[in-house]
Amino acid sequence: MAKDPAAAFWLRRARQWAFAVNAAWFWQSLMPLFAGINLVFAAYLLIARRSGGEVTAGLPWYLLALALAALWALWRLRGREFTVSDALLRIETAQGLKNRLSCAHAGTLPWPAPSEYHGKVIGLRAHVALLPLVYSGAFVLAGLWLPIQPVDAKPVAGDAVEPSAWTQVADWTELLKEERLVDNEDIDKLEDRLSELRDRPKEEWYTQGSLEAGEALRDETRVAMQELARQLQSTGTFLEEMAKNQAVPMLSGAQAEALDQAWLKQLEQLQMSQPGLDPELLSQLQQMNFSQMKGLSPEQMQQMQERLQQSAGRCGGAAGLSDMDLEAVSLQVSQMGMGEIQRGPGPAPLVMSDDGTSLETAAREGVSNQDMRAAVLGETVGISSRPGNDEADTDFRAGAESGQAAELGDGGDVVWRETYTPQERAILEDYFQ
Amino acid sequence: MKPPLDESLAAESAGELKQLRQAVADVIFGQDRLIEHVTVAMLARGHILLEGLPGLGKTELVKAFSKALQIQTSRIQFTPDLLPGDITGNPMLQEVEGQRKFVFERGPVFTNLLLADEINRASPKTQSALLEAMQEKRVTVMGETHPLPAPFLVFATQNPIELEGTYPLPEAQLDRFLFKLEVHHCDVDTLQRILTHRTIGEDTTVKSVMDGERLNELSLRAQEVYLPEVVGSYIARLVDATVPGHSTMSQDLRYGASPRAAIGLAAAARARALLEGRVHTCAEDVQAVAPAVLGHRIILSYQAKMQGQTPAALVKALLDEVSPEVKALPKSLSAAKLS
Repeated sequence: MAKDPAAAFWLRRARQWAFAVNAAWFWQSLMPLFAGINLVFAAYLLIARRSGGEVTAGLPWYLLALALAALWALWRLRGREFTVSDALLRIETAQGLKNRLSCAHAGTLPWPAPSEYHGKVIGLRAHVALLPLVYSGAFVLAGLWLPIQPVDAKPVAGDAVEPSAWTQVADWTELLKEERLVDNEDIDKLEDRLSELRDRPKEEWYTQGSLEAGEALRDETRVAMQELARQLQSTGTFLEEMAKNQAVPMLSGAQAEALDQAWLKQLEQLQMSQPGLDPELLSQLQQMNFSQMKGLSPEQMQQMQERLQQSAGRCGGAAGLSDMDLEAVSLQVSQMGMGEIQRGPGPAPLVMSDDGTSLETAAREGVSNQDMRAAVLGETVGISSRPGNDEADTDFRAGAESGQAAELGDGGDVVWRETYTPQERAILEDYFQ
Repeated sequence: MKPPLDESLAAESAGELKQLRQAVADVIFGQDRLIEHVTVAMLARGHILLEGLPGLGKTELVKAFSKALQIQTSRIQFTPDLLPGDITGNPMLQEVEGQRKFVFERGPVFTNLLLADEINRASPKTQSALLEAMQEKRVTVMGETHPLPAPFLVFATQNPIELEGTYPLPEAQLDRFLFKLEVHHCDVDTLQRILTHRTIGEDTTVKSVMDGERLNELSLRAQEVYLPEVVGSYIARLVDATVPGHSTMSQDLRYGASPRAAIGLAAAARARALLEGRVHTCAEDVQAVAPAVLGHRIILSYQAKMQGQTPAALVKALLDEVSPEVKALPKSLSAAKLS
């Protein structure tokens, strides 16, 4: 049979069409899995790129999943696969051969001439067959090309800029060095702490811990500088006040002693401040108590006073203190009492102080209500600008204009009185038909 | 020895059958499809139930075939008082050679072509007497069996109106008819042609083309027509799909077709193939005869009847649903067909 050219022709065609149909069945079975695997692979690609991993690492798993899906699709093909007989039936149905090919295949009739084959046996629904392929390709391409930034991207070391807190601390350190106000050891300690931060790998400069440490150092330094500025300002003002008292001729010995004690106390505070004051400056100030002040020239006094106040201004300004803040410190020192009978120690009233003076201008006082039950005839109960009931607008109709409802009803009962349900309507229509 | 059926014999048979159809068509106008179906049924040795309004030519059709085939024809007008013996025949007391004994007097059923007019007007008992003869092709009276002549074909008619006082054939008896054919009105041109060629009261002249023996031979040839496996599978799937729950269309059915319907479908497909000069059947043969074979064998559900469904529409739905191809194509492919 196979030697017959016509038989060979038809059987070859049948095998071709059977293969095409089986391939289509295979693809249809594989399609959902194929699309799903590609979707998962696209998600994997995105995650791998996001986490900075190697995208090709998942390729073997992807191929393995495709292979397993192909096996599953082949397994599902069983019972539906087109045989040569099925293909011959498809051909003879399409070509209008009235089952002659099936009869010929069974050996009861001769094979028809090949010229009766007209080609078109099966049509391809391209959109059904190819769309999943397009979707899958789009998934994978999106996974590969979607612009995303890796989470743990390594910074470029050469371009790293140190955190601003560090820069600020460094500026303050330079300022303190220039002013020669602070003990060098303290400045060195501050620089050591800053260097400790700077010496860490640049990749870690912007980690949470590093940033917090830098900000803590900055805040600590700022507070210390503000405190130093206040102390310098108060010392300078103290010095100014002592110079004024120097001019008073009849100051008692006890008062002079008190001033010396106050000056020593001021210096102690200055000494205790952190960072500590420059020892040279401190020794100069220690020589300037009230008793020994007579030996100093006014120029020396003026020079020291100006130096302290300028330094206080520069330190305070750098640390965020305004001129007003420093003036308040000066005012507090100049008005400081001595603890006499008339008034205790501390700032005088109505001067700048940490605690505000409460004048109670915003306080409210309670007012009792009048008992109207005891009102007599003719007593004014109240005055109101609102119109009374006799001025009510009689033309006003609530709801008449806005909703245009003919009848408000009770809770929507108008719907049930004026319309039928679909079932009621159908029954009535059937009845009157 | 009878030669096996080949394409030349099939072509010769088709030529003779074409002459037969033409001879009938010369006197029965505008009913070519009906004539073809009747020819197929006769080749398949099947009985036919013709349903149609009075005056549409049912009786003329039977008479034309009997004349063209030169076979013996009887006609019984079924009435409510018709008895089984009026059809099969009765034993009559006769004196034979000086002795009195019962001699079987053959009834009108002993013929080649029996026209059972308005079969639904007779009582079920009388109907069953005929239907037994149709199935067994013999009559048994008083323990004596009398074979019916071959060919034996019954053309029964029934009127779809005036159903009062009638006894509709039960489904089991309907199953005995190979075909149930509906006779419809003809169009205006055919009507005009009838007026031109026919005169009331005048009998028609039909050309004789073969005799009953030749019809028997052709019928035997039809049985030799090859039924390919794919066509057999198609018939089996079609009949199986009529069983409620086995297909979508069967939701409208109460009962499906029987295996006898499948056998009848195969026989009719073979006969139609021979009619077309082929030695093998094809799916188109099955599709052509399926409405006539299956239409009266499926029982519609009450719901389908209330919805106005007809057996013909359901058989069409069946043919649309069940494909001649055993295996379906995937969604990405479409079945192409030469236009």
